[in-house]
Amino acid sequence: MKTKRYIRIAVIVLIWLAIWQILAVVINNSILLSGPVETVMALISLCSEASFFLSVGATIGKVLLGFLIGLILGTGLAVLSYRSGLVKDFLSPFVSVIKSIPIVSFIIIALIWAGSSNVTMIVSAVISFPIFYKNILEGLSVTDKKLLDMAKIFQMKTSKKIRYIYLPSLSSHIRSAISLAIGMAFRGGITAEVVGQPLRSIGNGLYRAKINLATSEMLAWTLVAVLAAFVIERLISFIVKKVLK
Amino acid sequence: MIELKNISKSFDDKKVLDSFSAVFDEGGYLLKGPSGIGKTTCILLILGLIKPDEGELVIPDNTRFAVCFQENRLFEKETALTNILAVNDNVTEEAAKAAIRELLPEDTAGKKAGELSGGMKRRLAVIRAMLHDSDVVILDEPFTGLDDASRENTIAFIRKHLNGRLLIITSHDERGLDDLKVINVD
Repeated sequence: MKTKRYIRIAVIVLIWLAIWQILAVVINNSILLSGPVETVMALISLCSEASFFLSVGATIGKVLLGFLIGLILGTGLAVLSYRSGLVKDFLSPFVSVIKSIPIVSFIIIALIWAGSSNVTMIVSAVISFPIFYKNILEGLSVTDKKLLDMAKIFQMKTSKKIRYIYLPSLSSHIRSAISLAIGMAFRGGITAEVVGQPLRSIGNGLYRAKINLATSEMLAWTLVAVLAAFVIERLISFIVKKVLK
Repeated sequence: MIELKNISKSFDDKKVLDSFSAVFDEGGYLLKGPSGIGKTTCILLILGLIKPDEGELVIPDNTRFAVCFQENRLFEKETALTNILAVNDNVTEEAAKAAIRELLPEDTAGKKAGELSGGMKRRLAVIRAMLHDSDVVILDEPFTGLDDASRENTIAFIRKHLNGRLLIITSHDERGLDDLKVINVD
């Protein structure tokens, strides 16, 4: 059954690659659209440079750090909001504003305040924070009140309440927050890099490819960004699944 | 000693308890009355999970309760053994397993609570309450869903593990509980 599913996915991917290749052949202009073969060749060429791996590693590291800060801040403040209506009301406008401010505004503010080397991390954190805050708070608010009452009567330890009551209730909320936040953090972080131009970054690679009109190289960097986000998301989801099991 | 003095409690304008008074001194008490009369409301009031509209509750400070709720309130995804150990820090794994064996089939300890039948869950909730280190044991309709033999075993189990604590049981069926002091809720 699983093999069948993998074959189906592989066939679908191949069809999309074929459509991409056909479009590239029809357009016949590698500046407008490079085909998958050219993109892979450009990727292989990039892989021959050590700076490529440094750039990819730096971007992943900064995005992950920002993601982690967003997770810690979002979770911590969600717990405080859950415990105190005053904190929740106090934070409500702040979270709403963060969610509605265009990401580019954050990028510019972060560039002014912290410089280009920190912009990826800050933007990733700012994007991840409200996602975790909202999801964790929602998960906490639907925690089984009857189980909490039972835990209170039996004077359960906080660590056991977290393990047996809160985590099972939060599990699906945490997973969906991670899945959403990691993708958004990568997108926002790399956008910030394109604007802020920190050295050794995926965003910087994309920008250089753009000014050189090297579309295949630009698509190769994009492919790397997509793959990095996908792999990291799967990895974190796998770890979280194991921990929450 | 626990005392309820002229307690009144309403839910959605429906008066469940009207100037109800009772004293629970020592030994065992049976809160008796038909379904919906307010027995569970009494229990929740004693446990401090709801507040009375009128009247006074006298409960000594730091009274420790153990309870078997009407709805079991088990961790459905955890094993029967974990359900007991999670709320009973001073109970060893062996003691918990031995208690489970007294009321349930041998292999129940490793089964998830969600996979047990209604009657087995009920008995598990009773075991969890009886093993808890407390001053007062409250069992709200502990025999629901039990056949006569299971009911008898459960009563024997409760007596064995009570260890002189104050016991409050709600039930509409007095069989096997003749020695308990009856308090009618009406």
